[in-house]
Amino acid sequence: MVGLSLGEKHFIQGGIAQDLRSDGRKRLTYRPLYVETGVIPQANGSARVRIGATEVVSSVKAELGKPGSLQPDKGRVTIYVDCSPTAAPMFEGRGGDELSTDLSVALQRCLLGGKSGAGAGIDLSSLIVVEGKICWDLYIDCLVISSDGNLLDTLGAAIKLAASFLISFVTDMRNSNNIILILFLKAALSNTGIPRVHVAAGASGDDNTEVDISDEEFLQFDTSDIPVIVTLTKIGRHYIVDATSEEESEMNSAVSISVNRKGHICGLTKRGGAGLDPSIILDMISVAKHVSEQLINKLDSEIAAAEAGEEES
Amino acid sequence: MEPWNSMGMVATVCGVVERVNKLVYVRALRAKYKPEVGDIVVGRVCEVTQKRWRLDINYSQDAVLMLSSMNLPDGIQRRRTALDELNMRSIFKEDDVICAEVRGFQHDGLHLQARSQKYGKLERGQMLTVPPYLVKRRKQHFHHLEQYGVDLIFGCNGFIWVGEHVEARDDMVEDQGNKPDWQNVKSNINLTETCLLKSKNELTLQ
Repeated sequence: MVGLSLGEKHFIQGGIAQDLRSDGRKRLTYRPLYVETGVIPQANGSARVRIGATEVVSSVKAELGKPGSLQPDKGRVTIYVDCSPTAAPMFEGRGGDELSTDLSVALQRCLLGGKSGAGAGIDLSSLIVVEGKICWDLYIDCLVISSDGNLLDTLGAAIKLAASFLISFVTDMRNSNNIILILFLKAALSNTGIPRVHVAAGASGDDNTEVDISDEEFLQFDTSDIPVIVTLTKIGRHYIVDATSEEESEMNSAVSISVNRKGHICGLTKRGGAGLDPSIILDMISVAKHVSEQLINKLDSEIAAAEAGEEES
Repeated sequence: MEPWNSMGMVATVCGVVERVNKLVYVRALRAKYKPEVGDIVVGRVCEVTQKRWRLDINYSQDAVLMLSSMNLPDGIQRRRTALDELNMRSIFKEDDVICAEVRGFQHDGLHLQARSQKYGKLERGQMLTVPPYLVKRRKQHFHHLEQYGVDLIFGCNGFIWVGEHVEARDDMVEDQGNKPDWQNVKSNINLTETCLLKSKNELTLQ
């Protein structure tokens, strides 16, 4: 990142104090958002999101696995972020590892809720196939292609979009016995989804379970509850939304809040060394709720447009 | 240029064919910045070393601004002493934005000079980057928008400075008071800058 002279720093700080940012935006305006879904055909769901110059690709893959013994009724989701060296020279080799871990942890906190699975944005109990034996493991992988500030918001949007194109399944328990046949067929849709799983009747139960995964029947994974992440960056005495990397270099602290459609807070992460008065955090939360409505509406219209496009083709 | 299928010579770059006597060459349209003597450039200091500053000017190497090519703050023309060398940072620090003129290519690289009052450190404003082929060489690279009180400096290297208007003042005279209204100027600077960015986007799409 190129440095800024003292005059330029004052210019940025003074501008934000007057609700006027370097590219003409107001404090609470996002940069234009471009979205493309289904970019990775081998994944169950994928999306590519660009906010200004920050670009991120995310993919969701689903595999069958065994649920943890502590939570037999819940599936598993793993989120992993990788910062590509094409985004910034400092990400070469191991340079991007620290930032990748920070982002992964922040996303997990915002989307997955606590250890018991409570309060998660992604409903883990809908991922279970056979309680205690089989569940879906979702692997969410994100790649940062270009970095110009505000990575968390872009990643959150990309995951929400990738998941909404992940078509889920429902288990059809014909019988309480556990032998199931595996039939794996390729999906016909361009966005492959997780197929429907039939747990077939069979001989007396043993631990070998086979799964019948059909490809014609898919069910909608309810993703309307997946929260979006809004990052508020505090510079001086004001906060801005969607900071560029120049503005981020001037920040005192930044709070990332994940809000779902109902306006509930699903997660909160604070970065930066400066301390914040609690009243400021409450104010930031209410600002984030307000801003998240526009972002959620924008993402929903993108999802609807992409689905409409698919039905035609 | 290489012969191809006896159709005559074909160039490897797209561009405009120019001829000088018997020399035929193709001037590329979207080239990297190529400095020429007398170009006005806007650069950022990346290093302060012995008797010189190194500036990043969007070229393959860093340009050099010698201490002797700068006017000292007290305005007197004199030999630079060791004390001057030690105080270089009080004139320009790392990351400062500077306007200068290309003096020429010397053995150790590209040299700049900033002897006139209109060159020097640029404060109170913002630097933009556009592709260098969009800035054509003209007679005037310094523009003053009187209506807004904004100074525009179009560096031939693609760095454009949009900032508050600064009168070219004589260093010997006492500091003149009367600062303009910073708030208004600031919004004007942002306005100008947004216009420049929009036109840059339109031009680069073609």
